[in-house]
Amino acid sequence: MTEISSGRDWGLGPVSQPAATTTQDLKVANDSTIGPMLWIGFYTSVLGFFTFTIFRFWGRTQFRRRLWSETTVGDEPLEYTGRGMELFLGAVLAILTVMLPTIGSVVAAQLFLGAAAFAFVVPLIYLVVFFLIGAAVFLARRYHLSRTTYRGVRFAQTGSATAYGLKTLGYLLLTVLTLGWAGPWARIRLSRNLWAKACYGDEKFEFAPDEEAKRQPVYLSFALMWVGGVAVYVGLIYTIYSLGLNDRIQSGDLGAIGIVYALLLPAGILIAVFSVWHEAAITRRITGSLSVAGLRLSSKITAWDLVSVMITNVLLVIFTLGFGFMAAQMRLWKLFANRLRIEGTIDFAKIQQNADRGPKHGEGMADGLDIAANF
Amino acid sequence: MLHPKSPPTGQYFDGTNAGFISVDLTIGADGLRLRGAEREIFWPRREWVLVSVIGAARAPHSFRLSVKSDPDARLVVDGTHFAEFAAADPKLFDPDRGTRRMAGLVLGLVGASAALLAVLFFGIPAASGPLARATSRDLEAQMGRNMTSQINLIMRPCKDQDEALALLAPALNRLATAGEVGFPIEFRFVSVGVPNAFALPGGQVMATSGLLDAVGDQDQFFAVIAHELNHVKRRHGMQAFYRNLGLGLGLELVTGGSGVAQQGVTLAAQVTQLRHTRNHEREADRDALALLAAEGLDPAALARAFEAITARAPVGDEADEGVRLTLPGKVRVRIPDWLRSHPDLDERISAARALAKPARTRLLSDADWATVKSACANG
Ligand SMILES: [Zn+2]
Repeated sequence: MTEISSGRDWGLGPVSQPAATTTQDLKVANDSTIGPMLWIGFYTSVLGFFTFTIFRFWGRTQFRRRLWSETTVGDEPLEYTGRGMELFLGAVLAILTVMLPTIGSVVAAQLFLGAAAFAFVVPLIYLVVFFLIGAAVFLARRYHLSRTTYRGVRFAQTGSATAYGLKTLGYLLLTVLTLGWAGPWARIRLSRNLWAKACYGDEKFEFAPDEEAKRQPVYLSFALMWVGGVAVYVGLIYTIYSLGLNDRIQSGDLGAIGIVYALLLPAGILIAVFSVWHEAAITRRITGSLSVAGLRLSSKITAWDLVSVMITNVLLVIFTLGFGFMAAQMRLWKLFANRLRIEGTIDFAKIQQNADRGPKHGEGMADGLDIAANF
Repeated sequence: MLHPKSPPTGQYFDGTNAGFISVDLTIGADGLRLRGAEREIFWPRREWVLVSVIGAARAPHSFRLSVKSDPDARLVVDGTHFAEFAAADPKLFDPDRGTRRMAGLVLGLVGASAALLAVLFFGIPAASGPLARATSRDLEAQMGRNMTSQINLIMRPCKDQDEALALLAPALNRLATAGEVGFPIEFRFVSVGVPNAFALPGGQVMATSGLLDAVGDQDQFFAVIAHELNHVKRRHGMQAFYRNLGLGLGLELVTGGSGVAQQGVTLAAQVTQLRHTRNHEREADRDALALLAAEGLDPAALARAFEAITARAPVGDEADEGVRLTLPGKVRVRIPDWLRSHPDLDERISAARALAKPARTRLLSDADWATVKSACANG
């Protein structure tokens, strides 16, 4: 076992220090396989059935432990230190402190305000929900990063959930007002917001695109996605009306509903095909903006990578009756990991532990709002 | 001895920075000694934490240890030394330990969720009655008025029903007073084709234009009204409100789940609702029959009303699927269970018919009933 980097100063000075304490270009790799992930997905579903679905918090934790430990950076695995109980308590806490008051005030508004006043309250509720979604994303990430260690040192997310929730809401409104065209810009801004306040140990991430990241066709690909999406939508509506399906559905014709569903599948696939180019470009743009502790990140992901994994993932989930969902998420993670490049020179001994141990309880709202990813 | 067995070595991340040092390891009876170039550390055996085992459980590629007193520290050891560590602490390194722990966890969770289910599906419904009775009548009346104003956005009140309502008022008051309903009744017709009537909390009662079309005579109409008045009296709307609220919040815990498990729990919730709906219908029927008899009206009119209503409502497979009605604006409303063709309904019809007794009185004159009957004629 060779020593590639020294630990703390052992008190004897430079004589005993190894010659090189730095490491060049870290290789990122994930060697997870489908079998074990299918098994975790299977027993999480089955045990969920007998535990009022509560087992999902432990299942998700076991999935992450495995996925993290099978992902290596410079031959050292990541480690997930979260616990199922933390996720469970986080969800219970979020229900009591956020969901209950929110639902309670909606119910109260419904009961004690007249119909007209309630109609006025409805848009407000939507605003609150989108704010909560933003805040939940932030809190889940804070938990995630604080429970991820690499070489014994924690990641961390600093910043405020409230601020991030408000920004999410603002960018969303802007995106709606611009018919989606502010979307890619907003997404990059939000990413920057998170990453520029993320740390590995005491080292802050930096978010600034390099020349290659700037060259990514983010808006060109978005234009294709937008035009393609609109065309598919118009085509779908035209088909439905020209076949007279709308009238048949109004009169409760089950066959017509079946035809519409049959049309939605190819339409969805077409939209997905139009969007992968953009998805790949924006991933390269965001990843290519990241650096930390002298290391520069970039992603070599292509639209074709995404299409092939997405299509096979859909089949995987369908043919396993949903049990394969975790395995599908693993395959996506694996793709992102294997396409990630980390270049530069790092002196690990200089990276100090992050003092923040992170939140006591996990994720919380993200679970209740149904946006908790397995990773 | 040309090749003395090399002592185990490991990579020690001390948890203060991301660098590591190589250490020689000595496993003793009382613990593990980590010897670096410049320092020695001792990890007492009782404080060992097996963080992860990478690779096969019985022949791992490597494993990571930590220590309770310094949870950030990590010692990475090559899998070839697994057996030596397992000999020192067979319990900690037992490959089946994870499985056993999980079995314990699952048993605990099954017990906890059984308790939770009991609270949700029996505790909350049982508490809904006392809660409803403890709610102030003013509060319930206010809730009922607001619910009505919202429902009337979807189910429009019939346009020219003022005259009919004025004619109905004395009859409704008579039934409400005799039945000791406990709330002032606010009644209106709504323009919905499907024959139905319903009672919201706090004395709000509605009947559809479809019901007016379906009933053969005023006796059938007032029998249905008597049934609704008893929902008001027993505060069934308020009970359902508390029950739904409790179940809804309980189910909130499940919304993050997906697939089979969530479907199962949701189904159980629907069955619970249905069970209580049935009980409420039976109660309302029983009291309505008594009220009709006491007022000199024919209880069997309720049976005839049910028959008239089901003759108009969809029956057969479609009804068993849960009849749905599409309102303007594509709002779909589920027709209440008591309208559905179901063995239950036959039972209710025969219970009403068993009490048949010719009516001794009429609540409305023929002319007034004709006016009421055309309350929704203009939509
Ligand atoms: Zn009823």
